[in-house]
Amino acid sequence: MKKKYLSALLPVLLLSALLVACGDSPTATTAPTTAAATTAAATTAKATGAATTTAAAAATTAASGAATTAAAASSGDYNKIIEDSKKETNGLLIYSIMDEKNWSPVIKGFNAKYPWVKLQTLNLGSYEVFERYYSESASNARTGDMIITSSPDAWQDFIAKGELNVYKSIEDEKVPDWTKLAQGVYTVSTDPLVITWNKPLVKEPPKTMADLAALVQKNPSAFQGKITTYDAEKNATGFAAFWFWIKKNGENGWKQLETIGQTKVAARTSGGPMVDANLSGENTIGFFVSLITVLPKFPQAEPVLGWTTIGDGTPIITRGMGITKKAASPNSAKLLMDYILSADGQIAFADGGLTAYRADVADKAKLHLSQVEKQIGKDNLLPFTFDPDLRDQAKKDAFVARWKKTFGR
Amino acid sequence: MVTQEQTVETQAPLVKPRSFDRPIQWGIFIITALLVIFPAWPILFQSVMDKPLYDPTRSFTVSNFTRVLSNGEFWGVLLGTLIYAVCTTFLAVIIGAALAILLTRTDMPGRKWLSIFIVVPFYVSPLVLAFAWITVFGPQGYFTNLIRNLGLPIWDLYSLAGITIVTATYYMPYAYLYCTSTLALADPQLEAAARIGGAGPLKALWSVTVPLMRPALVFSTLLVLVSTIELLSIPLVLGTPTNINVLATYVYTNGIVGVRTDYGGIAVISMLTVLLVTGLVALQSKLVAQERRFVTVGGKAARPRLLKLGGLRWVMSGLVVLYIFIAIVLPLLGILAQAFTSILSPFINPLTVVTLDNFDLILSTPAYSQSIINSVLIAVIGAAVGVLFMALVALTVYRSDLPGRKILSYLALYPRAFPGIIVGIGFLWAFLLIPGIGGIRNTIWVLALAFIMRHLPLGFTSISPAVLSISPELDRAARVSGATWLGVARSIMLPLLRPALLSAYVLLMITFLKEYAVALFLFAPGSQVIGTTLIELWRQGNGGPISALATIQLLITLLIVVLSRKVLGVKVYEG
Repeated sequence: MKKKYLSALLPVLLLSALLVACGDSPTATTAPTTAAATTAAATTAKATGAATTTAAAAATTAASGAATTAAAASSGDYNKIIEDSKKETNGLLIYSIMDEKNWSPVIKGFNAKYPWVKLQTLNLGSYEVFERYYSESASNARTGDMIITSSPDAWQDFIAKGELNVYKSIEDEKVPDWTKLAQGVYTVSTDPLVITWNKPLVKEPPKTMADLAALVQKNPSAFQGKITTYDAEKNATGFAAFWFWIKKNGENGWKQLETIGQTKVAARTSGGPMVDANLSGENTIGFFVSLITVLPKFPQAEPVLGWTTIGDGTPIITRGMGITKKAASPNSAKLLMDYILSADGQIAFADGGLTAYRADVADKAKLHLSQVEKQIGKDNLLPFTFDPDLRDQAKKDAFVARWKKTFGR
Repeated sequence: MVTQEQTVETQAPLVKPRSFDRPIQWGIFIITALLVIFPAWPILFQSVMDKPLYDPTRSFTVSNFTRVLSNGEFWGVLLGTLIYAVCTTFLAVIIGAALAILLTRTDMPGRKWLSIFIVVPFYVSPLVLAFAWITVFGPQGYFTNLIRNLGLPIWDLYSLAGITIVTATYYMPYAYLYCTSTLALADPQLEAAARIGGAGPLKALWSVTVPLMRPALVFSTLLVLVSTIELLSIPLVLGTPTNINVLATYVYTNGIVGVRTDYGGIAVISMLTVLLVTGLVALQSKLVAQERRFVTVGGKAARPRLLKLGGLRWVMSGLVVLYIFIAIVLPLLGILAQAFTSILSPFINPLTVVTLDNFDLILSTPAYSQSIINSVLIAVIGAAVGVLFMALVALTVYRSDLPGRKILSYLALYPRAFPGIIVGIGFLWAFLLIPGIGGIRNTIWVLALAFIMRHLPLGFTSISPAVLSISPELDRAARVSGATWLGVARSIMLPLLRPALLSAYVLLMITFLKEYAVALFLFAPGSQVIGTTLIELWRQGNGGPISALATIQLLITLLIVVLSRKVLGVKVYEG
């Protein structure tokens, strides 16, 4: 009997022995750092952290017009970037949260312009893009040259760690200031989160969250289990959507959510199932549903599926893009960034199913933010910005806790 | 660790001179240990670190343990997980064993073609299967609406019971396959002896056949239990809308996608799961301790006589057909319906939205079609290498006197205890931290290696019952005649195990085709697999293309099964 337990313990012991052996040196060097230090303090205290200024800049959102050394002013400089890009033999590797379908027209357009760049994309989750970069760059392995993701909190950590290669795009003056999330972090697309409903089952669809709350208030039992939205606890997009909507609507907003929250809201982690649930009638109304998952269902879904922008605040997913410090092909990455921000690039991504925002392509892009703005006004566009509060873990935790309470989870 | 093994290794030749057996057995032990420790040590290391391993400012802490263990929510989730896992296992094993007996040992009509369907849910990715169940059995599913229109009471798929049933039908094939392969090996003379001794057919079945299945039952129980504890996608898809959390979704939420990435926390939970699995394995080794009891292959085996069910034949047949129709055929139709339509809604006639666009998207996107090719390569080659290795592990555990063989039997089951994504991260870190092996990091062979490691428990548990059923007298006889352990393995055990090895091979191929969690952190441009493509499409909410890809995967799997049946003579779905 005893032997059996021993044999069970042995592997555990072996594993821990190995663990101690492998983990020895890093532990020894970092031991003096107090565990209690907050992340922010740790960053500023870090003597090697070259990016303290960048971090400060990022914390106060995008400072427009600030000069960057990397800015390519004259065309002569730009030719140098192009020439240097030709020397980059490792290809261009992007860690993004899009899929192949979104990318395909962009890759086509970009390669027509710069045929020597071998552009490869790896499509990951909104935090994985960073986690993978950190792991790889820490050991000097080949990693992403550019990161594209919509999580503003993780972006700020990235900048604070000094991992961003700040590049001022030649398109800088052509894009609106609010889409410059930080110096060197531009927006790829601005995708709205909308209200959706099942047309046969909902005769008076809500146009605002206030409408929805009033609708529920009138007859809560009719909506039990019939409303769906993003999960703010399990999903980064869901979290940001509620965060920025509450930022605008405050306590009044919480009250409306509480009313809606009585109905056993089905909170989901992906946009597709929300639209499917609306189509089947399982959930008759959805809010904060990503429009780019709704539109591909048309025109077939026309008789069943309705959607509207949200009159009292439409969260806008801003997909930030930035070049990484450990980029093996930084010049090619600059060319891609400029292309994505150009009129052609914006139209190409709109062809791939995303929402363009550059003013001069409003008539040419398939889907454009101006269409949303026309309906609800600029004040009700709620883009995911680099809110410094998002770096405060306690505030985030408190927010999620309140969200869970509000939705009875 | 190394020094300890070396000392034993130097002693080995003293015991058996002129034989390479000991070094080979130790070699198998060490490779297994490395394969398990390789991705596991970053996890163990992480559990006592306050920040991610890549962060140079990390430091030692025990706060991960105190934080997780003092969290009331965690204990609630743990309790829920245990209920979920135990109920799922019970259901899966009972159904699997009953179907195995009915389809291989009785004269039930239609069993030949019914057996084709039994294993099919297992061919499909659980993520896709969960969506298929929603399409058919969800609150507005086609079947649910049919029942509702008849005025009958309906069920709630988004409940612990719903999740349990879906998971049980998904893992049932494990129990079914393990039991059929044991039954196929069983010596019919034992049953015949019982009959001669006056036992009726049912009595013979109950007192001879069922006890003989015990190793298969024990191993499949263990595998289903461990797999259920780790399974993410079914609870994620069906539990999240109504906030039902199990350990896997809890880890996923808190560690992977949530608003905080708590590496320390997940590492601690992974280690607790390993402890739990250690307990289960200890229990298992107790249950099959008297290994001789299950020896059934002594001499030459003849085809067993079938049990006559008499009047019950058609009743049983009807029940099996009903089960297959509800739990297997309908969900499959759900997948096909999604794959061949642009949208699916009870308010729209499906025939008006029939399309091949979903298939076109998958096949015309280079990265997606490449992922299919990669998956097939990994499945065919990786599984072959894997199954040979796993057979050697099983032989070392049950057919050698290696002092470390008990430990080896634990090591072989651990990989399933770590959440798949964590194994992926562990592999990534291990590859990054060990210099000189960066060259293969971005190839599909890294994935093959990770898949072999992760599914070591599957291969091990599927080969073990067969090893236990072969009488040690056979290899003792050979050993007495001067054969080495390796010689016995090669010329006696492996040939006798051929049916078990081949079905393990097919099992591994099928599993490798579906695997995704481990690959998430390991795949690179050009080394995508079907699983990572499914996840990429799922994130964007592309239900149609997901189902189209799943359909393609299902066809490939069926092709593999049919081919292996024709070429290798393996019967995956029949004893």
